[in-house]
Amino acid sequence: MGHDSLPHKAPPRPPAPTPLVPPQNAGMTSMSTRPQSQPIPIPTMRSNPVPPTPRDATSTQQPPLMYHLRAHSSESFRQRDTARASAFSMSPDPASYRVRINNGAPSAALQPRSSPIPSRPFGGASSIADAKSIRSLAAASTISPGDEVLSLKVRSLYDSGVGLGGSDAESQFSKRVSSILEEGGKGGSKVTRNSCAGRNSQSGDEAEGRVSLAAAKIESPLLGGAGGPRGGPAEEEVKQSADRPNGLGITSMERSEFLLAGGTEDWEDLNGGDVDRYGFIDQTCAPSTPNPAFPSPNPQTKSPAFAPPKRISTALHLHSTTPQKRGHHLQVKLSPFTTSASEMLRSPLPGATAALHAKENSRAKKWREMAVIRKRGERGEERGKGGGTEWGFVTVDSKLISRTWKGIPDCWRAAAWHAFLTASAKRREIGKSDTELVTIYNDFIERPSADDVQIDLDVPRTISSHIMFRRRYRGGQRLLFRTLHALSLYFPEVGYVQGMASLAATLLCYYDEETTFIMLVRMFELRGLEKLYQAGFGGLMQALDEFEGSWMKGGQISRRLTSLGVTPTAYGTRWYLTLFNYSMPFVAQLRVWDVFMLLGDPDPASSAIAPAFSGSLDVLHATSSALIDGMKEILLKSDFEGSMKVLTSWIPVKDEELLMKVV
Amino acid sequence: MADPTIKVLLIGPSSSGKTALLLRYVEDIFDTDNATATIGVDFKVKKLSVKGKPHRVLLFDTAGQERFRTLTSSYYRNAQGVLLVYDISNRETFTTMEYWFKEVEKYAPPNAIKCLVGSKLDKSTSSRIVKTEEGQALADRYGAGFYEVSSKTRENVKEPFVDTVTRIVETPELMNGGVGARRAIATAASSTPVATLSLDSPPKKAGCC
Repeated sequence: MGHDSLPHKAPPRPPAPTPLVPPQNAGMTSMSTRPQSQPIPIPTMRSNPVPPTPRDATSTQQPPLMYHLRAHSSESFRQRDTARASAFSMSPDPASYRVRINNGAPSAALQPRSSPIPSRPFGGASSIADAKSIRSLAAASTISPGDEVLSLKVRSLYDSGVGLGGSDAESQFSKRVSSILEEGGKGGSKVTRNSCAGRNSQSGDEAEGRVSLAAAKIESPLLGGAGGPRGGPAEEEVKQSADRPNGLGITSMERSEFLLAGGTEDWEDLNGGDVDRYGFIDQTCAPSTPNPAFPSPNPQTKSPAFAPPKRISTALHLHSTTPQKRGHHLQVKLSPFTTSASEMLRSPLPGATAALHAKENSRAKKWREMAVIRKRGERGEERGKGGGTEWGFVTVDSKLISRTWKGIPDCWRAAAWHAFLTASAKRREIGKSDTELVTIYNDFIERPSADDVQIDLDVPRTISSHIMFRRRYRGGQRLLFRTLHALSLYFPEVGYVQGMASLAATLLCYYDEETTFIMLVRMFELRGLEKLYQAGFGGLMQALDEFEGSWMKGGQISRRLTSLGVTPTAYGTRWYLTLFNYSMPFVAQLRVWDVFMLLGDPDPASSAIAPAFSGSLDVLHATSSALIDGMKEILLKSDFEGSMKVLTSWIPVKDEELLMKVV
Repeated sequence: MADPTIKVLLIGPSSSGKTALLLRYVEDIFDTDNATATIGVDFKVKKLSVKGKPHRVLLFDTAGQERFRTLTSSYYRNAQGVLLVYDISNRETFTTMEYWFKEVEKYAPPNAIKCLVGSKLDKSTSSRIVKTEEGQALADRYGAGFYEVSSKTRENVKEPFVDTVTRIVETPELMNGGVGARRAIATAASSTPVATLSLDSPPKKAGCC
């Protein structure tokens, strides 16, 4: 599916040979093995990162709790992956690969390419949605030949998983480019498809061997439980090979034993204990000077407040003795805090690990009781979602709202966020259904985007301290590139803008690529992000004016900052565009997102006060106020330099409970 | 009396190495693993002694993506110096320098000191695309200083900053005009982000250079 760079001329997709479609729902049969009434994760979502068990067996740092809740049993994986593996080995015909591309969505592959994208919005707003999709398509097709070649070049790197340094990739790429240029694109895809068919038949045995090897790995008790609901290495192997039938995948995607969770996580040189439950590599494994103002939390304490600041370190430079980039910013905050708001920058008392586990468990149960099954995960029913069980919540329920403020249990986060945005889309009759978006996604993956080069520049610089995003052109980086690529085509007037990458990366920690795309689109359409990112940043300016006018209200801090010449543009740009991803610990960011996903709908009643966003950004405004309030002491004492330093740097929110209370 | 404050801006296309250069200069850090795209602006302060007199240099690191120019252009105002950064291993980044020079002419004070910086000099032998002479010629055409630097190896990292600040200090109308303009705007509580004199920082001996 990755080789049709000129989709308009591509033939309609061949019908899918149904027997080859892997059972999407094999994993769901393991329900009975789940303890009590544990929630069933939507199978298309990524699991929590699971440390390699052998090294982790003695580690006490990782709570088994969450993995338990989220991960499928290895048994169910084996079933699914074996099914996929056999499907792969049975079908050397490249045409049939299309069926399993983005294997959660066989339906997408069934759509004839040449037919217009079906528009079946939730309600009556079809004309808007239609116009939008047509615009998108038009924009995609007007790309200049130069940009198209660049786009193809960049995309081929992510297809193959290696840089251009690989001579094989290089020659493959130049072949494809020349075929595009010479044959005007008509025969380009055909050529590569043929050559690929040849390669496949040659290396069929080898590929099959590797697949079964990978499948065997999953079976082994050493790796039991590793891999996410999206599937283990075997699935990814098949996916990679099938996904890009240009021959590159076969030779270059040798599976490393360090690549787990379907190849999206790179565990090389890492111990399970070095990675926190969200997949960030612990900064304590790199030597760093403890900051007296912010004593580092005890790593043994699995308090939810423990999250190492991102982007600080990876184990790749364990030997490094240089102080870390973000660590320096902390020094400006040495002064003692006294106000209650500033207490949120402190860590809560260590200990009480068991209590926290119990609390999270009971919260997870409560969430299960609140949840309503929208769609039972029957195979073939909700095709775009890979047959996952889809959960719904009554989003106006006061209990739900108060519980969301307390933090969605991590195992429920993915389901809840998705349900919140879906509910909001239905209520406001904006946007397309999941299935339609998945179709569009799969179509957009094939198209060139003028933003591909810029996206490629930013992908390796996005939360690279996370196990998913460490390896160039592979795993999480590949998924990140693909979702951003599709997003840039979906909102052609906005395009790709720096800052989007951190949003997509956060979502990829919870969802597969299609669902990440769906979530991004919904956040843009329903949560005001399209406006924030709009060209010229007029929307962002409005939002920041709104913040300054309605929230700062010329108070003491506001006056101080204004007199110093520090405007919200200076610090708010980053806060708002990345939804605080750049500026606070991941755990705290997630808590803000919880509320933002639930309550980010505009309130018609408040439109008189805040006409620009009708209150949809209130959660962001409140968080900004809370942060500024937390830094009050410092800000009131600082000069321009000090204020700017504090406001534009990492804010080590240690106690996100308190932050949320302040908010 | 506070140390004189000087505002210097770093501009240039995405991924040309602005943030890396700044981090190496101010904090002596080079860390590609944790590099992130700059969103909006970043801000750092460096104390620098020029002719035995301490100065505080406010360094504004801007986002390189074209889209952010509408945001970053307001930071040109009252900038006494601008560093224009390109990547010597990437022709595209050098080609856009003409545009960046025009941005400076459009938004920065007319006599602001310009300095063209070719970054990633460590790639000189392996993958240099833009010749030193090309960079020098462009810099000459716009009356800018010119340096090739490597944030990775520290080579020449200090020079463009020191040279730019020295030239600023040697331009009295820039020093006076800059301070006056900043004061005026600060008292008018303008919505434009501008630097003000530091109010409460006692003069300190600058340790740099």
